[in-house]
Amino acid sequence: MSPSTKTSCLLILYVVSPLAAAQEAVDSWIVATDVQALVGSFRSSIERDSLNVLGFFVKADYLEKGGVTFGYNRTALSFLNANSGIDQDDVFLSGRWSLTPDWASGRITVRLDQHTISNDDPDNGTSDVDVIAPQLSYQNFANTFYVDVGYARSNFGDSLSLAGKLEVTQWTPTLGFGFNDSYDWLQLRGYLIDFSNPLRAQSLDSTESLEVKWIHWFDGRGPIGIDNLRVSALAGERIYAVDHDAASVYNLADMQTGSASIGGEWLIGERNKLMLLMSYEKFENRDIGNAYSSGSVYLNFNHRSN
Amino acid sequence: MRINAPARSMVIFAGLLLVTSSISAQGVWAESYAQEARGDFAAAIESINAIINAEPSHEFAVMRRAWLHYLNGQYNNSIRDYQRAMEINDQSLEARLGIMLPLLAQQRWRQAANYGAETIRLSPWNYYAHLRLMVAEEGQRQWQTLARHAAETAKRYPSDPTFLVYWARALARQGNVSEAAVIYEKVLERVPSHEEAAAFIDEHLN
Repeated sequence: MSPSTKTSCLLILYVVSPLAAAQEAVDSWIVATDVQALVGSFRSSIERDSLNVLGFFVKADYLEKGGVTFGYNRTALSFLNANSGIDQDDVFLSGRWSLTPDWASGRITVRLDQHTISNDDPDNGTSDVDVIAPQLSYQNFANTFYVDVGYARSNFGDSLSLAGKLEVTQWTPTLGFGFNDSYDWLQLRGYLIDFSNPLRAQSLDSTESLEVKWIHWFDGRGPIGIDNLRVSALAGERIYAVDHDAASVYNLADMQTGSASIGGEWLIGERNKLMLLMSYEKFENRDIGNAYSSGSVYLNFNHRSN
Repeated sequence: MRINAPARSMVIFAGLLLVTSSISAQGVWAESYAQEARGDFAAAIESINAIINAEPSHEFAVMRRAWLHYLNGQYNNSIRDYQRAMEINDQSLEARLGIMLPLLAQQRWRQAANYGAETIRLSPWNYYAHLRLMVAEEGQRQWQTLARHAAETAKRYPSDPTFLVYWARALARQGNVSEAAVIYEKVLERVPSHEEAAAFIDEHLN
C-alpha cells in the first residue's frame, strides 16, 4: 500500500467513523411495511361463522413532510351454511402532507384516503364500495393535545335484494390528550354516520358511537418485554364505519353495538415492531333479529427500512 | 499629484460618509445586541433588517437574523434565513448547525438529522453536530442508535456530562437499568447536583 493510498484509507476511516455512529438518522425517506392478520370467530350468530383477514401496507414518508401509503387486504367471511361465504379485496391508497406554521405551535396534517373494495357477495350489496376519506389533524409540539376532523363518503354497489342506492356519510371528530410525561395517550373519537337509504342500513338513517383508546408506554421494558399497552372500547351503535387509524372499512359488518380490545406492542430491535390485539365485539342484525358477538386476534408486524 | 479644491472637497465628503456609515452600522449592531439582551427579539430583527436591506448578501447579518428569528419563535423565518446563509457560504458549518435548532423545535427530526450528518461529514467530531443529532435521535425514539452514538461521542468528550446523560437515558429506555445506573453515576461525578441522574440513582439503587 502506497503512503498516499494509506493516507486516503485513514482519511476515509476518520470521516466515516463518526458518521457511522449516527448513520441511522440520515436518510430522507423512510419506508415502512406492515403485514397484518386477523383471525376471528362469531358466537350466537345464526349466519356467520368466522372472519379472516390477511394484508399489508407499504408506507413511504419523506422527512416529516409527507408520505404515501399503499395497502391491500384480503378478507374471507365464512357463513354457517356450508360452502358459503364472501371473499373480498380491499385496495387502499393514502397521501398525507404536514405543515408547521409558527402560529400553530404544532403540526397540521392533511390526509386523503381511498378504499376500493370488491367481493363476491351474491347480493352485491356489500361490494363495489368506493370510499373517499379526508382528514385534517393537528398535534401540538408538546404532544399533549391532538384534534382531528375526519370525513368519509362511501358509495356501495347496487343490491339485488334491497332497492335503492346506498351512500354513507361519516364524520369523526377526535380529541387526543398526552399526559404523564408522554407515557400515556387518551383518544376519544365520535362516529357520526348517516345513511342515504335506511332500507339497506337495518332501518336506520344514522348511528352514533364513541370510541375511547388508551395507550400506556412503559419506562424501559414493561411486563413480558412489552413496549406499550393499549386498551380501547366502543359504546353506542355503528355500521358501515370507516376506521382512519386502522385504514379499514366495516362494509361486511352488521351493526356494532359495542366492543372492547386489549393488546400491546413489542419492539424487536429498532426497526421492527410486533403488535398483538385481542378484541371482543357485539353485533346486531335487526333485519333478522339476531344479536351476536365475535372474538378476534389481530397480529401486525411492522418493519422500517431505516 | 495635485488635487484641485472641488475634488478635494468630494474626497473629504466621501470619507466623512464612510465614517458616518461605519459609525451608523456599528450603532445598529450594538443596538441589536442590546435589544437581544433585553429579550426584545422583534426589535433586534428590525435593526438587522436595515443592514440586510442595504446588503442582502451580508452573511453575518443573515445568520444573526436567523438566530433572532429562532429566539423569537419564528422558526420558519429562521429556517429560511439559515438556508440563505448556506447559499451565501456553502462551507458554513455554523449555518448547518444553526438550522438544526428551528428544525428540532418543530420536531422535524429527520431533516435536522440530515443537517447534523452533513456537518459531521465536513467536521467529523463537531460537538454541537453530535449533540443536536442526539436530540433528533431521542425525538425519534431511536434508543439503540442513540446509545451507540452517545457512547462513541462520550469517548471523544470524556469529561462532558451531556453525552453521558443521553447514553444513560437511551440505556434506561431500553430497560437496561444496571448499565444506565453506571453511566448516571459518572454524570454525578461531573455534576453532583444533576437532577435526572440523582433521581434515577435514588429510584433504582437506593
